[in-house]
Amino acid sequence: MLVECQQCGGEVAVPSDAISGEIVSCKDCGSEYEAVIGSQGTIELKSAEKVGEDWGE
Amino acid sequence: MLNVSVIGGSGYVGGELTRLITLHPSAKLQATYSRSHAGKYVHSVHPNLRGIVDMTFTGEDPVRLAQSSDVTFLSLPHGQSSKLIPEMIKTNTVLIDLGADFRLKDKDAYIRWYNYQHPSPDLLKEFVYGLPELHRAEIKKSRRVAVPGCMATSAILSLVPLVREGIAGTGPIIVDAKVGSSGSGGKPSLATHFSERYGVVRIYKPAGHRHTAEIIQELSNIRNSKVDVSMSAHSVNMVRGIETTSHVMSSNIPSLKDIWKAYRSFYADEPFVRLVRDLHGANKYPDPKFTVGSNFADVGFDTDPEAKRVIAIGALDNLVKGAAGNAVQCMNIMLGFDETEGLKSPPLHPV
Repeated sequence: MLVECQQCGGEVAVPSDAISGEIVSCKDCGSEYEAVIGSQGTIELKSAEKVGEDWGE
Repeated sequence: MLNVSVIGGSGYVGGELTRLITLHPSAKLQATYSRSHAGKYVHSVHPNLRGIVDMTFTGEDPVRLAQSSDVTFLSLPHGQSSKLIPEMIKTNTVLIDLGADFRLKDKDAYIRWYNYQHPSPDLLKEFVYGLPELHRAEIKKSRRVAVPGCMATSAILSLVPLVREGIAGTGPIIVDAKVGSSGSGGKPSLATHFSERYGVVRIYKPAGHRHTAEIIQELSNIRNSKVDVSMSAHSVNMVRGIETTSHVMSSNIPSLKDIWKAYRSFYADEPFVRLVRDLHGANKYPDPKFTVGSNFADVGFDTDPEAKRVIAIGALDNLVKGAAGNAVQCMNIMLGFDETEGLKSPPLHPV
């Protein structure tokens, strides 16, 4: 299933057998999400928690 | 099978044309002309083609070569193709000029930017500006194309969505260009001598670079009014590649999502333009390193809302999408081939 990326508006592919908490990412901008699967099979994307890279910027 | 000739085959662009033609399933290199290397094997100048192109450079009259060729590519120094084309145009060959002589539509622009009185201004209208992403339909109907300059290609492709969508304000666009040593051509000079060039970040043209004229011409066509552009060009420490970082001032900075939309809508069906704006990793924005050897142009962007600035980034291999690859793409369009024929090589990594 394709879900809109919250960052760039691209399409994030979520596998049909994904489970809640599975990490998926946007092919275009690299945003990472946790898939949240509802009881009715609905899919939402929640920004994945991660340690940010320090580029000294 | 098409018979193809390259006029000016000993330069870097001529070498790239030769390499790409060997990969094309429907084109055969009939001859490659070089006055200075006539009689020498192609691989003596382009060692990468040893065992691939078993041919010597010819010194035969270029107009006669054109007469017997289905397609004639001209990769000559500025001012040379305009001496040949008035005769070549009388033949049936398809003409693809990689020099600057027929890129500009306004003869006065040649005086302004090239300090050059064009000898055949009436022929300027005969040539289509060979950037498929902007002029595909015209290229398809034409038999004469002028292939854009390498820096112009990078700057234009990265900027067009911003101009088209009205994101770019009416102020001047500043283009900062960085180019590798192959952009200076194959003839050595003190400036290109290894000891002098290695390690430089040499701003060789702070203003007034000739390719600026093409950028103005094409972006003004998109906007339907004059777009002011100023470009600074640097030589940097790579062999192949161009990166343009362009600064667009805008009173109304859209969201990043809206800018993504502008780029996606313009380039959705383009086989050789990739959008690069990744949030992670070392390579978040276009970098010519990842286009080397390919016909891809990578474009990306960012915003600086506080300064009301949008940054457009373009990167490509100056010898491929910036010259020979784009020329072959135009040939494919003109002759009805799949646009990607002969151009399917992915970029090299690492290089």
